[in-house]
Amino acid sequence: MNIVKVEHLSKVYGKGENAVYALNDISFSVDRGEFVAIVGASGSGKSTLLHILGGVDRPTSGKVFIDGEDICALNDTQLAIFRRRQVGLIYQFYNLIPVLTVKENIELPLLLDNRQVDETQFKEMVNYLGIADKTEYLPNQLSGGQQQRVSVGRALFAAPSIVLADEPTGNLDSKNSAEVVKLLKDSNKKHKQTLILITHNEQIAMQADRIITITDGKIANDEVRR
Amino acid sequence: MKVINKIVTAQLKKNIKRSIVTVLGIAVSVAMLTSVVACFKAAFGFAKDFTTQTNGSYNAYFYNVPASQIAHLTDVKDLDKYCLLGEETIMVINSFDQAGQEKHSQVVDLNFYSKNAFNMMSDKLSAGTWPQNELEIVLPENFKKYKIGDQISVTYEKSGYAISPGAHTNYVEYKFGENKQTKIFKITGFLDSSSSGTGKSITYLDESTLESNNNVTVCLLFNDFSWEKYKELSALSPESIHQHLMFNLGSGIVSPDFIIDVLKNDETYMRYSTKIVLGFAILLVAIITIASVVMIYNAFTISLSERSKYLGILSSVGATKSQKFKSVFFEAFVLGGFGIALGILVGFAGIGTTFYLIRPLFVEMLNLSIYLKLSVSLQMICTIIVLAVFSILISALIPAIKSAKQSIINSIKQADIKLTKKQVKTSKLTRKLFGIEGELGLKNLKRNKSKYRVTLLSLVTSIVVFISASALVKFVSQRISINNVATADINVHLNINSLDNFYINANNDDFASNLAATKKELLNKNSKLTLISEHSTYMLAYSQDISENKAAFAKQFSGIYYEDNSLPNERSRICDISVYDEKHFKDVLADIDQNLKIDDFVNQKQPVFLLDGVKTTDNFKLPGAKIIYTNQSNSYDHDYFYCTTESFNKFLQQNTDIKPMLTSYSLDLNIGQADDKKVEKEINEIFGTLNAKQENGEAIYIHINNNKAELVATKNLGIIMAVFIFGFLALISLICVANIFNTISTNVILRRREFAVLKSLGVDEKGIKKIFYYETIFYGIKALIYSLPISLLIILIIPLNYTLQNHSLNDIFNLSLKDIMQALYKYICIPIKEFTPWGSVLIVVFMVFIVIWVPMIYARKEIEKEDVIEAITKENI
Repeated sequence: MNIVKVEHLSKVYGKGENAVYALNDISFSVDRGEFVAIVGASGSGKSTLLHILGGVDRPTSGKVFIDGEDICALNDTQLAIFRRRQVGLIYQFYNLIPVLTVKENIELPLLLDNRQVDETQFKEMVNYLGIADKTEYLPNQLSGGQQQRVSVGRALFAAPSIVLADEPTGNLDSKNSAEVVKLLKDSNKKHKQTLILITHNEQIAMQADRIITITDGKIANDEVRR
Repeated sequence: MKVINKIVTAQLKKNIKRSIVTVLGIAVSVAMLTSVVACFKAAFGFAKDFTTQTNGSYNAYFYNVPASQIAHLTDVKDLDKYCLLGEETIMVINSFDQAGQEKHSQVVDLNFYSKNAFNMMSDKLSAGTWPQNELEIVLPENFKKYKIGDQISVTYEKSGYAISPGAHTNYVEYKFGENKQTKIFKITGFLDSSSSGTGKSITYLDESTLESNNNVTVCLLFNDFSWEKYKELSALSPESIHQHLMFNLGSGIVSPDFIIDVLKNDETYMRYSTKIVLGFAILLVAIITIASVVMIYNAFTISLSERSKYLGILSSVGATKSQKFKSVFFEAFVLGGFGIALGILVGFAGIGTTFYLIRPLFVEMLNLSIYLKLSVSLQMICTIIVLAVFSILISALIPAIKSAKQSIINSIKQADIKLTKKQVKTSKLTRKLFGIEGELGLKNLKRNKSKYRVTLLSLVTSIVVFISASALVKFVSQRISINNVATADINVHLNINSLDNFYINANNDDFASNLAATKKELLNKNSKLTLISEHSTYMLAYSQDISENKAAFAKQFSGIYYEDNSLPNERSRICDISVYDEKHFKDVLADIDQNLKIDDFVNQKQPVFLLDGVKTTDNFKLPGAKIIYTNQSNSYDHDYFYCTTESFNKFLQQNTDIKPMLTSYSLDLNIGQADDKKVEKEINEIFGTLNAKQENGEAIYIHINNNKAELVATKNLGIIMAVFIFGFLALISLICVANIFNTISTNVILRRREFAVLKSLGVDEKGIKKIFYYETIFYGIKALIYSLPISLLIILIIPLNYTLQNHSLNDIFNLSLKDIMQALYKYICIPIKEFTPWGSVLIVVFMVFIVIWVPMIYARKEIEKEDVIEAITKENI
């Protein structure tokens, strides 16, 4: 069963002779619960792809179906609600809100959606992330690894159907990197969440179910590993 | 260019909009300083012009100096010139009847001026030339029945009273003594009535003929009247109280030392006004300096927080602390250079234009060609630059120290803001009421305390200054309108005095017909004039015993009272009778006692008089008249009667032998659309002839109250005051707005990554807008919470000085609960009700949110331009 279906997706910057194809007529699909690693050189277009999948950016042409819905056809408000409910985004530089505590940062997608926070679920989450004693801290009082765990927590807490991670370990040491990937993988297995992760790290990529290699805006290789 | 300076320049260019706002902010501050300096310079110039035109051009004078001491006082260094004023005395112009018998004629004051006095004093000629010798004289303008070149015989008193320059003694105080002498003068010209009045003549004083015991007033004018000169003169001052030293304040004294000395010693009214002016100046400069320092400081801090990463990187490759320190001053130099130059230009242009625009108001108000003049001097520009550079350096100092101190890692990470949980704590209620967006908005305000405070301070300053200024203007204009309730456009008042045994009595047909003819002539000449009311006052000697009245009146009639300065007998008394037309009399009754009824006074068989006094057993009576008493306290030392013209005429008809003496006559006129200045001149001319027509030694003083002109003058004063207050207000608000704009917009722009993250987390445009709305609302509410009570307090203080004057300490210590409630009502409720400028308060409430909202919108537009993804993926901004 496909959760993500991409059809003839292109993203062009500039016009005419100056046109640069960040994505050039890409088509692929991802099954529910699949763990996909996207690899490629810098500037190959992998981040652009991830942002279009997350509804943060819009394609120049082509379609993206998430759970059967064409997100390119959504207006800005619908897209915002889609991001809030369906997508969990994780960035290399954590991007936490500095004035909110760890707890509030994790709960943010629910709070924005005016949804009730299940305290038991929250406790489970912070125990799972290993930051149960840090919930009342502000981001600047945490280490990089801890901040990324909060960011992971924020992405997973609203139980989105799809988690998108843009080089989540790019700013972490190897121990923290391994732990963050483990958290994402475990959640992927446990909740059958689809995980699409961009990485430069070959070891991490090798843990995925499938590796898509992008070169110059095109899929150069699509290798299903298991 | 050094690499650090290159970075600074690049940064300034990159953020060109903010750099412009900062330069404009500095320019406005400098423009304000410029205008304050120019205003004070102009005010001193104005004071000098005003003093010169109204008092005369001299710096100081010695009063009542024996001629033998003149040389001692005029032998001072740097003296430009000096003049002498002889004692003012009384003079009667003699005329002869048909039989060639000499008789008294018109009375005027005689002044003696030395040669220099003619151009040092403020007197001006309307025709002719100044006297060149002791046999020549200039007469008042209303004596034009004589011609230039005419010879007149006068009798004058040799010894008189020492005078102050510009002052004019009321000659009725004089009587001829033994030093009477007669002289023939040749008329060389006439004095302008607007500068010298209608009762002053001047002849030449020859210094060489002064005898050592003659007293004179010595006026001194210096090339440059300095503080040292002031002290030198003070040391010269004679010890005797009768021979004192006075200064012509405003004639060129600008030394602060002098002002301080005046504050300490001078007993004149100038003391109070100088204090106010000085206090006002200090307050203005303080507000401007604080507002400027806060604004410039803020601008540098913002710019620095944006540049800190570059500085960190530079440090990591070897830039020293002092290099970083200097970079902030380089920025100050660049921004300050543009700002100061622009500010000085705009300041002079602005204040020059303001002076030019209000010039007609000044001329109309003072009826003199004196106004505020713009003067630009190198000294002024240097003062402004020094003040501006000082505020800029002070403002740049703290950011410079901060930048130099910051560690490399913190600079690169831009971790200069260390947040604590307590700092951004908000109540649970906030989230319940405003949702997560509201909470985020509030937390964002709190995250950077210093910027939050600066923004709040700017808002509070603007609001408080705006509301208090509006309240002040409202208060003053209310006072002006209260003090300006005039019943007629013009009041003409004739004060009729007699010399020796000459007087005018009510039955003097000559005078009565002259007066009636003069009045008629005036009303006929100008059809726009309408007579509103007339009022005459008479003086009468009367007795307890009616039978003695006739004798008392008869005696008075023959002039004994005035000659002996005594009453006919001990049972006699002097009374005043105030005669009004019926309509006016009704108002007078209401003023004296509300219980009195007009019907008791009109259409009665016998004349009815109202006596403002308590009825006693030994009542004095007016023959054939009914007297109604009122219980109002009589503050006069003699009886004061009121009656209608009808009653008074009846009284005179019944008692043909009683001759009350006319002491004053006044009439109230409305002038419709006529030019009040022209009418005033007409009245002066027409009634002036009345004086010259009298040949019995009466002296008639004309006093004209031009209420219309006064109204215009106070209105103009109000406008001028409002122009300066609101001009100052506008500039202060501009600085504050620049400040708020800089702080809020940068604050938002610095947070663009957070907004991008929020967007990526699913906050839609509405949600982002909501955060901005809430931030605006919280800022606005907080600013109003602080500023409205402060403004209210000021509104309460403004009229306090006025209302407290009527209370003694005793009143305050004997207060009952009722008194306290009344006091609360009087000092709190009434001022709030009367002087709160509600319109301005509403404008403020509205404007506060606009002023915060505009930079938010601007910043949002800036953020929107940027790609969300770029903002998110940027390591840092």
